[in-house]
Amino acid sequence: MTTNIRYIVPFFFLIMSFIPFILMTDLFPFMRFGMFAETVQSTPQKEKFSLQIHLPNGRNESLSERQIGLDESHLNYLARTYFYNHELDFFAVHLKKSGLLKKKERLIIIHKTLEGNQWKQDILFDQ
Amino acid sequence: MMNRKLLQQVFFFILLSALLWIAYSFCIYYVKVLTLEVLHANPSSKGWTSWMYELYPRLQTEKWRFNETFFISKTKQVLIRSTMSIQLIVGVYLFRSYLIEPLRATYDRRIQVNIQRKFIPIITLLLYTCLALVVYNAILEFKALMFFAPFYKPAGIGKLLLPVFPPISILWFIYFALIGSIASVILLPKKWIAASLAAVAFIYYQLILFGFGKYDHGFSTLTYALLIYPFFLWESEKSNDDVVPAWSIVLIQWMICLAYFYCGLEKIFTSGIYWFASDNLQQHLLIHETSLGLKLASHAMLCKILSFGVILLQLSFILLPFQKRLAYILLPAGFIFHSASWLLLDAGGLFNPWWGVYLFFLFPLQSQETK
Repeated sequence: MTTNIRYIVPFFFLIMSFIPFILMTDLFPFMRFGMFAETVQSTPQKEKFSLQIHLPNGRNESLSERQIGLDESHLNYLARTYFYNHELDFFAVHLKKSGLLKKKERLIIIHKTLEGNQWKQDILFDQ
Repeated sequence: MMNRKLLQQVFFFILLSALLWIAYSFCIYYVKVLTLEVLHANPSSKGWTSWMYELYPRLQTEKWRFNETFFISKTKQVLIRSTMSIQLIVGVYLFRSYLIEPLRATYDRRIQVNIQRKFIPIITLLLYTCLALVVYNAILEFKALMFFAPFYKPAGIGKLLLPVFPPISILWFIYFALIGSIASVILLPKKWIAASLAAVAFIYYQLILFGFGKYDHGFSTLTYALLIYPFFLWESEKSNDDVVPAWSIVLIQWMICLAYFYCGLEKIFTSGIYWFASDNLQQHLLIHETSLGLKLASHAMLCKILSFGVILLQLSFILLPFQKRLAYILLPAGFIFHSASWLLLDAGGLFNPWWGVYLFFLFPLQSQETK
């Protein structure tokens, strides 16, 4: 049995690590390692979303600075998903209701696009 | 006679390869048609197109961001990679009489190694300390993620294992399973069951964390190590010999090296030489906006050299199982690479499990023949 396992387990892991590379998708826990593989050429690749909280004292704070369990890249991904699926209002309104923000704090969602070395900003939500 | 047979096989291989690539050229047209059909289909409709959205969950968003050419080029990539894989399988099958035995002998020589029993407690302690460093805060992360529960949309296996965002009681259960199994592996004598539980609990931890549509590969090599390591502990607990079979340690080393190799290969396949010949790294640095990254982005030539260095480093990892001495160069270079990715691109953190699992290269393995 041990001898079989010495062949079966490596075979399984090596094959499973190869399949995401061929299919170009994650088959969790076996991953495709495509992070940063894409060259940055087109405008959609030069965009990001910023979720800010406007504090009563007039300052802005990034939502990811609060202990919210999601890091910047996941927040960016969520905002992008809901924006492109035309559901950003649902996303933003729910975030406001969720209790992440205190009274008198405003949620601001900004769409940023890199043009040359400068960022162009559009405010998508501010309530 | 032997040479004639070999010549025939070489001829068949060339012929079949040519046929494969001709088939590929014919498929290209249909690939375009099918890609467009998927892009214009409703993701929730029944049929084969919905399976494509299951396999590529990000397509639902990305199809609004990129034009059709982008997706056609991706489908072509899948077709190229599949054709190359089939060609490889055909080659191995045709030349099996020449390849199988040498391959098996090489494989046996590589995996028939032992490790001294005295190293097991140190390896175990280091590995599960790595895991503890990643998950010690898990319950706070889980509780914070409850705010995002309505946006929970698991992909792939997550749909089967954790279809809805779990209630607080299940989150505590997963947290206790994680912490309890880590403590049990380090402290209890029979470790392999606790190690298996730790691997399963870590999978669930990631399903919760990455259940918002996007899996992150920051924990990949640690996950591979945790999935394979119970086999090592299981073998070590079967006897009391001074040395323990270490094929699973070798497999963990291979999986780590392959992960780096795939990172490099993805860049070459996806972007070609453009990845390091253009201002690509500069653009990534500008997008991620870290203070150090923005300073580096102003040095074009340095960015090109670093891009080349990254590809070289990632591709070189595949040589490590064959040339152990490369560890003296590749492991420190890997550590610098991950620390730089954190400082320049905000990828990962101060502690990165990718260099945490380098521990598997630190302990000497000995051939079973010299036992």
